[in-house]
Amino acid sequence: MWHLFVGDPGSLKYINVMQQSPLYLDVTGGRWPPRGTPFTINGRTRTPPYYIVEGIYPRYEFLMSPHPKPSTEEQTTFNRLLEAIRKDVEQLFGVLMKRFYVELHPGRHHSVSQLVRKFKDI
Amino acid sequence: MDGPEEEFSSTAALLADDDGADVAAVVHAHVNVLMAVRRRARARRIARRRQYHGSTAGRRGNKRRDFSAGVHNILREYFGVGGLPPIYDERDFETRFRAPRAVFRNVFLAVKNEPLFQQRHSATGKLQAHPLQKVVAALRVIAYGEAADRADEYVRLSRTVISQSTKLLMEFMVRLWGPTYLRRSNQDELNTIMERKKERGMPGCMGSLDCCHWEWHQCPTGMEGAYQSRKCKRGIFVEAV
Repeated sequence: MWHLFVGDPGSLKYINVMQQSPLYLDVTGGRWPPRGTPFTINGRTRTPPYYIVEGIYPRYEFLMSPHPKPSTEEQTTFNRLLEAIRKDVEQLFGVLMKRFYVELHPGRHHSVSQLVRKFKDI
Repeated sequence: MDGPEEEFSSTAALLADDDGADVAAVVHAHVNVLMAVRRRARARRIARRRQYHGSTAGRRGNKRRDFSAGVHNILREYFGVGGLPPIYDERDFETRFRAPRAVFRNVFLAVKNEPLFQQRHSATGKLQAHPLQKVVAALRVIAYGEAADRADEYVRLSRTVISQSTKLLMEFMVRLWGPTYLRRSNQDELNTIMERKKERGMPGCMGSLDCCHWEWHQCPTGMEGAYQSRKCKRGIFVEAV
């Protein structure tokens, strides 16, 4: 787990949450990711690495979402690979909940939520 | 008949040629005096109010919880007493505390001398609860999500102490280990992550971003509007990579 941002009101949407999160602010402010981490796709070298997200996120350079309506073989394969990797973050919350049952129950206070998660990393 | 009439006339005269500013000034002064009196009375009341000192006359008496029995239970079951092996093995230990023995030991040693956790004497010179009891009780609450007084019979602590120690233990952990574990990856780790993702067919991927909801039971009514999600439940967002 490399980033955790807790405490936004539940009425927000994923996109609002992302735009408030320190990760987003760091990426747009140029503080993250560190420079000089190029990668190569199909023989082309690109610089900013990306995060894999769901389809509803906006199309930014550092976010990669699956094809909304995959029609060709290539797109289906791409989506399959993407989902295979996205799986781990989907499972993350399940693992946390399994480990500390406090999370199963409705939370008592704001700040506690962050504290509980801390446990996973010990 | 003279007196009242005169009085009446003088009042009438006063009313007749009063001007607003005078009356306002008088009223203002009077209010000031009243407020000063009240403020003084309140300060005196606060000064007289006694701090909560635990056991005091007129309150319910302390229960005769056998603290030593609690420590003995824990030691017997998980650590072994008097040369005997512990009753529960490593696997049970990890189930109960959601952490291996080494981690539990680290937590215990770190938290042992914190103000709430250290062992104290009561006013009568009796030894109070051992830090081990408090750590075990707090971990129970966190691991099983149970009510604070659930572990009372086992660790022999009141629910106040258990909930307090749970809160402080979590605060302490975040303060001590938060910066170590909840942080961005450094360059080496990022390289490792990207290498691993490359093997899985996604070069240049730093991980995946996702959100989830955590329901908030004690949400104040005033904030329900802001915290209500599309599933009509009050909760907060958790974003993780």
